[in-house]
Amino acid sequence: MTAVEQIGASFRDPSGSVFSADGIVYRQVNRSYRNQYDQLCQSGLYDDLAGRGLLISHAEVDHELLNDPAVYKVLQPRQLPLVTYPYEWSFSQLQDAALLTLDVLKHSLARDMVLKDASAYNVQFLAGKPLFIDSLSFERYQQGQAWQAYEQFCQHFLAPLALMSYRDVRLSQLLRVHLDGIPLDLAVSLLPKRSWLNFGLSLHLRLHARAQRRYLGTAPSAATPRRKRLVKKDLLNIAKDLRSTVAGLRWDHQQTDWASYYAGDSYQEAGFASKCQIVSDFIGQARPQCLWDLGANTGVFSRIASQRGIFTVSVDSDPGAVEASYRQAKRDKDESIQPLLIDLTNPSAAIGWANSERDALAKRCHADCLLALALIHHLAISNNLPLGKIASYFASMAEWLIIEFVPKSDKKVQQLLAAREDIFADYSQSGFERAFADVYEFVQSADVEDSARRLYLLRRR
Amino acid sequence: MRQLTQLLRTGAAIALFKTLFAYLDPGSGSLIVQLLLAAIVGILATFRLWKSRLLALFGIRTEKEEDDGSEETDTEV
Repeated sequence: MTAVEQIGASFRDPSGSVFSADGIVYRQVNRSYRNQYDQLCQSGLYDDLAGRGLLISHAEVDHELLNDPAVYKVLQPRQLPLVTYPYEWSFSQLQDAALLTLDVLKHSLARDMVLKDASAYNVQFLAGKPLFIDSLSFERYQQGQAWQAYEQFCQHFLAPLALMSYRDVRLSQLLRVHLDGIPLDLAVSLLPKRSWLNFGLSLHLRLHARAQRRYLGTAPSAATPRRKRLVKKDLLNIAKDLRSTVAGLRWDHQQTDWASYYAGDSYQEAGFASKCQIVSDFIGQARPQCLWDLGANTGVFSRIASQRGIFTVSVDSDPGAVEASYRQAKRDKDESIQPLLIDLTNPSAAIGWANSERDALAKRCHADCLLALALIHHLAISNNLPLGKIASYFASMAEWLIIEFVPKSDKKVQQLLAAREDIFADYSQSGFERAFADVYEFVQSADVEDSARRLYLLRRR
Repeated sequence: MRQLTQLLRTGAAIALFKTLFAYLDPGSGSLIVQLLLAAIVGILATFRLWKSRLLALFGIRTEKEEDDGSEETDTEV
């Protein structure tokens, strides 16, 4: 029997679970969910959603697990090159994931089904677009029912988006602590007074939070005697109002330090062209299938790889830079780039139940090549990291490394040292080469024109 | 809050809460508040519909009438 590994996040819903075997991810459908699954397929909802590119497509496969009488089907969904989490998304990524969820709900209701959950973890990004990945989130709609996942939707999507839009975009990081979404009372307490003017937020967050408090511990049927039932049109109206509330939220990404970095003066034009040429040559030599650009900013250099069809993860810690990169990817319809909000000095850890619900970044990274341009001085000087530690961390992530060394004479390094004592005696080109030679073989290097910076192509020993 | 309670007492639901495969705790308040929301957004939807009809009467066309053909996920870039 093949070794089957259950995915740590897949334990809440008794309808099925996700596992991997031989590097392929499968979804098991339990017999208890049979009627719902059959309705998803027979009502035409699956074809409709998959056809529109809203729901992940899958194939029913023959698998030895089917010998278990509790298992109804085994599905092999389209495989994702990378799993990402809502706290790694920029504002628009989370917003698009929210809108996708509401679109899936609308189409489901049209076929007498409804979403039984609305977790942000049900959405992943594939080929530049959000995609609903939980094929077992659907249940039969019953006339009169309220939307069971309304609270979850507001906590996972609306609350963080409202806080990012009205208070501070960095509040998306509350999602790391609150894995089931930001509690509504917390969100309401953090929202500024002017958000009262947003009628949708007043309804779906403020009124909602008050009702939660008022009816805490009360059986809903005890609090609501008789008469009128909710009809499907009511649910559609609520979903539509949520949609316009979500779509109406805005965030101006140009406020952050880095989003306008390239408008600054790091490089003269000739230097920039030379750097692009060298990076392009080095990528051509490494020939990666998956490249991670660390400290990618708005992804200018990531696009050298993504435009060749290389799956490129463009990582930056600045929400404005990631937002700009995502918006550009949407405009360009670039399917190969995945912008991601990650602070490399504190990459996403394994969190949740038994520290295995949401995986650490290292476990999800399957890069063949890293691009680390204009990054090393931030790690070595701003974060006091010894060069040897940087080298060994990079070597743990990928076989190839394209890295730029920025010497102390560079204006950007001078800025970092302006207000502090220079305690970095080893920070020099020769010190860099010594430290990286322990773990890497130096394949090639080249000076960037009009600059004291140097680019290296390294391969792990 | 008192108004909310009163509204719910006078026109509330019974079948709100049954589902087949719910594994989430939907939260009592989150279910009950949907009754009120349905009423409010229903009124808003009717208001918008009449507004667009009225405008249409004067030959003014609003950008989106009745249903939002606002497929799918795209927001402004």
